[in-house]
Amino acid sequence: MKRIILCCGIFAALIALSCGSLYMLKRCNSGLYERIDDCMAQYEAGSDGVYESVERLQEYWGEYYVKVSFLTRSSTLDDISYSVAKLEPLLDEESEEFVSELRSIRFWAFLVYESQIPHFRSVF
Amino acid sequence: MLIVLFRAVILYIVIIFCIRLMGKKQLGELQPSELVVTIMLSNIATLPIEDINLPVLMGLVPIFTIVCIDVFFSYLSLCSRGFRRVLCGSPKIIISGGVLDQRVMKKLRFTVDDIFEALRGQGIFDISQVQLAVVETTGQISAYVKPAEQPATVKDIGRNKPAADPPMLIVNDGEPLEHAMQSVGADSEWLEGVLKKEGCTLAQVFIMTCGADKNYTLIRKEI
Repeated sequence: MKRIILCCGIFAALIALSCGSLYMLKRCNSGLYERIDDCMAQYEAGSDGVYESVERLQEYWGEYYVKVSFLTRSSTLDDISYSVAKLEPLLDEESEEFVSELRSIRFWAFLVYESQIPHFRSVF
Repeated sequence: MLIVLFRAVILYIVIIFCIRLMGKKQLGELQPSELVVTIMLSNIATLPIEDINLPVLMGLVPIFTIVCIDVFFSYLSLCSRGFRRVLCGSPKIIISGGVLDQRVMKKLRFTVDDIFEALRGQGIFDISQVQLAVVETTGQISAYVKPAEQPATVKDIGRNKPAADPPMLIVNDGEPLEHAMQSVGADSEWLEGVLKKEGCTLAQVFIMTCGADKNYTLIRKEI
């Protein structure tokens, strides 16, 4: 009976861990979206604060990457890292690609979250 | 991660089904569910080790999931006979009164060679000697020999022999085993006396066994 109780505990912990990881991913994504929106707003307003916003985004991405890599490790995370690294040079060049790169980061982050949701198609 | 959890549950059930489908012949000494757990764990455990891009959690979640399901299933099979039958199958009588049940044989896909091999393993070379043979859920064959073919026991020949424990190992590679010596009623003084009589030292003894009647067997070291 002890073994059953222990297994019930482990199974409950596994479900909690799985759901918790989804919640954590969602929360991290919200933070990332906020920073991306901030960068876009600053860029569209032509403000000098855009450099600070990009710096904040890069810092946040560093933390996000460490947390998320415990749960999932995919090429999408590497793609986001490349895009985040490209932001500053694009800003220096005043390239139009800056906004599209931000949108890509947003979309990839969404994909990372989406890939962890147990849809019928992803389970089977 | 939930995906991994769901997949582990699905794969466990699918593999159990496949092993049950393959039948008893495919099993060794393990129950179907035990075999499934062994196969799956050995495979899953190597994945995060081989692929450094895979987080360890991705290996741990399915391992714990499978072990938990196995414990739940074994508990359920303890509670329900029907569930046990679904999970492990049921033993089948393959020889009754010396007659081979060919229908069961065909159903289990056992060849005559398989049966004879299993019987020979139990010291039976003539199928007509078998009163009852059962194919266990593990795939092993247990045979009960007809009473007339069974070797005579001490009781059968009408002699009364008191029950006694078998001899125990009391010296292993020159090391006396105190606990074993106590259990046969021997002590170090008795051991010294025996060694003196045999003309060897304790260090020269490879193994020594002794029964409660103090009958002993001493094998000296050769190297």
